[in-house]
Amino acid sequence: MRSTFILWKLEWKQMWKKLPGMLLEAIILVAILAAVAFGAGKLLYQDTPMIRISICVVEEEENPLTDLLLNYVQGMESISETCEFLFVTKEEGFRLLKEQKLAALLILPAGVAEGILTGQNVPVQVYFPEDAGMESALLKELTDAGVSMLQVAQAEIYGIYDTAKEFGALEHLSVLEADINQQNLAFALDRMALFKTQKVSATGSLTWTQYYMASGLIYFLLLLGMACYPMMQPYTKVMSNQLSRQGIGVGKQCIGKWLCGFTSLAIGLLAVALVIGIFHRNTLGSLLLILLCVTALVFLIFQIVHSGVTAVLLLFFLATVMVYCSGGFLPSIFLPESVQIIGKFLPTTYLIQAAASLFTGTLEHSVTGALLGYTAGFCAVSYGICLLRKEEKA
Amino acid sequence: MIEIENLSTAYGKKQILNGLTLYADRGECVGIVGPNGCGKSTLLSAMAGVLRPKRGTIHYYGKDALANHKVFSKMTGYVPQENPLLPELSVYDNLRLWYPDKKVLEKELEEGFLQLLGIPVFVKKPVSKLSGGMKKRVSIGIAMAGMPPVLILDEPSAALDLVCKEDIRRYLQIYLERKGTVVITTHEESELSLCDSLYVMREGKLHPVDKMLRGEKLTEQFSKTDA
Repeated sequence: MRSTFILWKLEWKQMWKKLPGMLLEAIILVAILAAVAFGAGKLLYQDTPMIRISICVVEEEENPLTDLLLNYVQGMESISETCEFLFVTKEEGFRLLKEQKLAALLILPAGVAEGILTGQNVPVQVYFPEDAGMESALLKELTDAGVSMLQVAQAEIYGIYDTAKEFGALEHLSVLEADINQQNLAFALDRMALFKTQKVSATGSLTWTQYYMASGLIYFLLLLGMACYPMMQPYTKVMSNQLSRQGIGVGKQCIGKWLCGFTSLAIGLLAVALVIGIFHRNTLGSLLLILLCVTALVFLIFQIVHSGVTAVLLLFFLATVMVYCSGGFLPSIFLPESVQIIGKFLPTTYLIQAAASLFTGTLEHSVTGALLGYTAGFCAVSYGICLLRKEEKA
Repeated sequence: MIEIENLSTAYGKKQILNGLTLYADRGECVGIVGPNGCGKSTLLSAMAGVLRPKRGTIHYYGKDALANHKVFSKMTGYVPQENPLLPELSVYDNLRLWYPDKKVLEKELEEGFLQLLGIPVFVKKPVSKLSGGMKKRVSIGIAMAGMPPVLILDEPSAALDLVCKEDIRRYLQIYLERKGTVVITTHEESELSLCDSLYVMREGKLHPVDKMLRGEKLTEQFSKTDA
């Protein structure tokens, strides 16, 4: 046992010698991740929309009243930010529509503006491209919804007219119409009514920042594992054999390497946790659980692949794919169904949930159980691989 | 004293050692030669306790090593072809692993075999900065931990320069003078000249040959058939 402790002590010493280099790699990694996150954040959450919808308008008859109406619509803030109106001829409009350069083509017939004022309601023709993109599809939905609302309003007006006529109350018609209009306008203009519905977020109870901090933390830890390769790499064949001769078996050899990897990752995690302010007494359990599982996973990968470059590349690839499938880059709800199903079985899903608990303060028992299970499983498989390799080595 | 009888082992269906027998006395140097892949390293691995043979017995000074695995580490020092060293650490730290008693290590460095190997000169250097010859000397020093009576060396001079080869020959000579037993696989003239008996490994068995055979005459023995 004395030799085993000396080996662990020497491994420990070796780890501290390698640590500055590892921390430098970690700093570079954090800088790259922060730059990517900042860039993605700017792209995803900028105030002005990324895409402007092009809509072509064809006026069948030059009319100052129609121009006034269109200017009014274009001037509305919500429309001017997202839509771009182009005035073209009919031929030009259809050509652009065919080339799919438009989200919609509006053909305004003669007297459309007057029709609104008189209640004649001259219909406007709206054309969408055949293979409508997302913008066109959205616009089509909105148009259909608008048409339905107008149809309801129109039906109400005619209904009231017929009712008033039936009951000989036409002298009250203007009052009834005014009431109906007021009701409809109140409904149409009360935009807040649209937002009184329950707010559903893809990130659950976390804010976007917290969500990405949680998944980013796990991704960072897994990538930090790449820098831990020198500490966790398996012994060479001869070294392992000589240690076994000395009475330091495969299990003891693994424990020494494992502990060094655990300590290195713990230092990296501690540094990040202190910087982002998630290190306190209540989060210790979650942090420890995350650390155990990540160490076991990284150790397993390094046991499967012995070659340094291949092992590091495999870890990078697996970390990226697993974090993606677990909804670390885009919330799971936005991922294809098959990816969502795969994600449910990945340890990264539970790791991200454990990291989320650092912000919410509640770690579910199922997550704790799953992570402990994964840790035990990874350790057992790693040990099995070491034993098999020992047999091969001999 | 080495007594190996009826030693057999195989990799899959390929028989590597096939009822091999070997005896060596105290202070004797046994040389083993043979073509690449004939099983020389496998035999040494089995003799060092790294590989467990399928059949046969291995006795060192009358003690059954296969029945009690500790006999291997106590009675033999093993120098494999590659060096069993931790490159980031100093020579001293590497030696600490095999010399658990610090006082013994210090004494060996001051006046023991480690001193004889010239290790104190570079004992503080990291292993990654040592030359091939220095690393080999450290490997021999490691094998000598606990002063085992049997030293097993697998081509110790391979890829070393002439000065290093001569140094290693000299250390082995001293070890033999101290009545240690050496089993060595080699193709080096200088090391073959140390051998009291020489064997050619063929078809999983050891065949004694004239210890003075060299060059072409020796290699002719590699392809001889037992019939």
